[in-house]
Amino acid sequence: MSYQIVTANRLLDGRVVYFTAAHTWSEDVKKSVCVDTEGAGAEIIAQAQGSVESQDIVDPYLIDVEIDDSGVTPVAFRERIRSKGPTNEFGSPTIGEALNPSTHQKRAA
Amino acid sequence: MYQYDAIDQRVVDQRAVQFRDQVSRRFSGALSEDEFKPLRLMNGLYLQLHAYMLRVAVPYGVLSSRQLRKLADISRRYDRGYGHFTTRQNIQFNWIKLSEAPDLLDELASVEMHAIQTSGNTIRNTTADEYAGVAADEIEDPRLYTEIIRQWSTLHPEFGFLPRKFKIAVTGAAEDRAAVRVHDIGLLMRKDDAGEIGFEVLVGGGLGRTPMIGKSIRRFLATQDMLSYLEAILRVYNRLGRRDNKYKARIKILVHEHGIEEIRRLVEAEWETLKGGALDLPEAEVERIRAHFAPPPYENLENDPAVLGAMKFENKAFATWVRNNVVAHKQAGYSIVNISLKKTGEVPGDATADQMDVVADLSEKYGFNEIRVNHRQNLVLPHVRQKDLFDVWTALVDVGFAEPNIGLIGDIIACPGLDFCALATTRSIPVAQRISERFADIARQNDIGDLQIKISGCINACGHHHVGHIGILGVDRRGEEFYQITLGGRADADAAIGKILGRAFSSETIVDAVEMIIEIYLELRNPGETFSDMYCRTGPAPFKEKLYADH
Repeated sequence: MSYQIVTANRLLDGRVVYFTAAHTWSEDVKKSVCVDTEGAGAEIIAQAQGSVESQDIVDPYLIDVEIDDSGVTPVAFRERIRSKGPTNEFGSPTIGEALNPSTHQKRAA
Repeated sequence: MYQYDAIDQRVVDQRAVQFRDQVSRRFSGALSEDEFKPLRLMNGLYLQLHAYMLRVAVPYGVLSSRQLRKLADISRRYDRGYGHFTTRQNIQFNWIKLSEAPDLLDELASVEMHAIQTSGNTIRNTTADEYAGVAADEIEDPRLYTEIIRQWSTLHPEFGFLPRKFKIAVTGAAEDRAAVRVHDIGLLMRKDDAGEIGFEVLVGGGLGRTPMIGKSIRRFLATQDMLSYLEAILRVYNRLGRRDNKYKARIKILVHEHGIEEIRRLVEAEWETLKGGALDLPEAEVERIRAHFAPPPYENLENDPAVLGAMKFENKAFATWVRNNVVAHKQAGYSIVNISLKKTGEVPGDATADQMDVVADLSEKYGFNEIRVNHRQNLVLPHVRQKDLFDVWTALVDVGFAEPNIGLIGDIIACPGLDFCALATTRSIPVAQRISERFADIARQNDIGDLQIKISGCINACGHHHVGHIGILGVDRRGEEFYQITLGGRADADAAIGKILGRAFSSETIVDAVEMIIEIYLELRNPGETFSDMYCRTGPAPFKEKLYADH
């Protein structure tokens, strides 16, 4: 059985988000609402459009996912990168030497 | 370097105000995404894979220490503490929030910077030789002309909606360090028989899905005719460039379809209506701009001071760095320092905020406050006293910027690829990292010699793979990452588009394939023969034979 979810980018900050059963948007792909029919896919895309009109997200679209014991995983490699982040971000401690933590100070909210 | 006058400052200030209003209207819904997107792109703000990416213009690759500090500060406060220097001498920030972009543009404007026309179908940042003004082989400093082009092209009333993006590069030296032959317009400085300085004008070069080497449209153009002639080319392109097909909209397609003779005829006819008119700048204005590029107050020094020789003798690593990264300056006693942003295993072209601050400090203390960005994603300190080289190197070692690999196999160009870019089909950064780790031994790199690897994550070729001695293009095969190798590319005076070697390699085997290519080169090269020269001699046959031996 194949499943689909809706993904988009948040207008405010461009972050990748996923449509949930509560009609909210989460950065966690595992919280996305999954459907398994074409009709249901059309329905959740239509529901997601409300968030376009309220200026919350841009360009929602359906993607294929697999569901297993670990939860929801996008099928397409590109979508897996979107869900997890860059595989080799500069300064990631998995790459080369660890950088000075002060380089990653974030602006206070 | 150039300092804004009141008009320049007003342009960027007003642009920041305008964009703030546009963002506000986007959030209120007064502007739809379709309406907002072209406005956002005109300010270099892309919606990429994970977040908004802002591309900040670094005009012809020249930065002051004050500006570099501001970029460091921006990366800390608005991003994740780093920035990425690009193949067009700009800097990109990968994690920008749209809600903060107006503040960010204000911050840039405060140091005479902006993101205007770093995207969109406009004239983009004009790029130049990173050794402009200091190279021993220079005819004249090209920065005067790149600054004039910058002012002419910024918010040009006719050229805001071209058929497609437009890129201009200028070189003032015999050696082409700006890849002018693969730009929409390339200007090569020349002297005519009377010794007057002018340009050979090339048109229709470019990379991407249909790479082409630029063709000469005018053998010699006097400098006072530069703007009127550029205007004539842009008018012909604007009028005739294809708007029906995004993939055939660059000027290289126009030149290819019509032929250079016809394009020349059209441009010359258009130029007749322009030359000698308002685009011939008054002498006073040219001199006003030229004055900004006067040489800094050099001291009277001798080459090869004793302290330099002594430190090279005592410290082998320093000596290697001087040999590989330091270049002769036209002023005695000074050197040009190349700062490699290609530390083994790291992301090519990236710099942390701390690293940027250290480079800014060094340029203040040792380099007349000036830094250059080159199209190979490295930085340059263009004026360093030779007696200060050891202190500069020591500081660079502390921040991981002293890799002695300029122009060597470790000095890889790579686009951000599928880790960041919404257009990409595969990742490029991990391939660059793995290759640099495979060839980490600097003695091995020196033995291999001049070897430029360029990696693109998609056909758009932002990593310039077409003009790599070894070019690598990522392709998607049934959802898996594969990598196609090209050989024989060059971006210099003998510019050439690389030829595809054969079947693409998997992610698992691409680095082995590159290593095999190097081994073949080392086995077959004549004494002193570079990879490029050897490839010219042998062609692809010996490489194909071994790499595809089992098929």
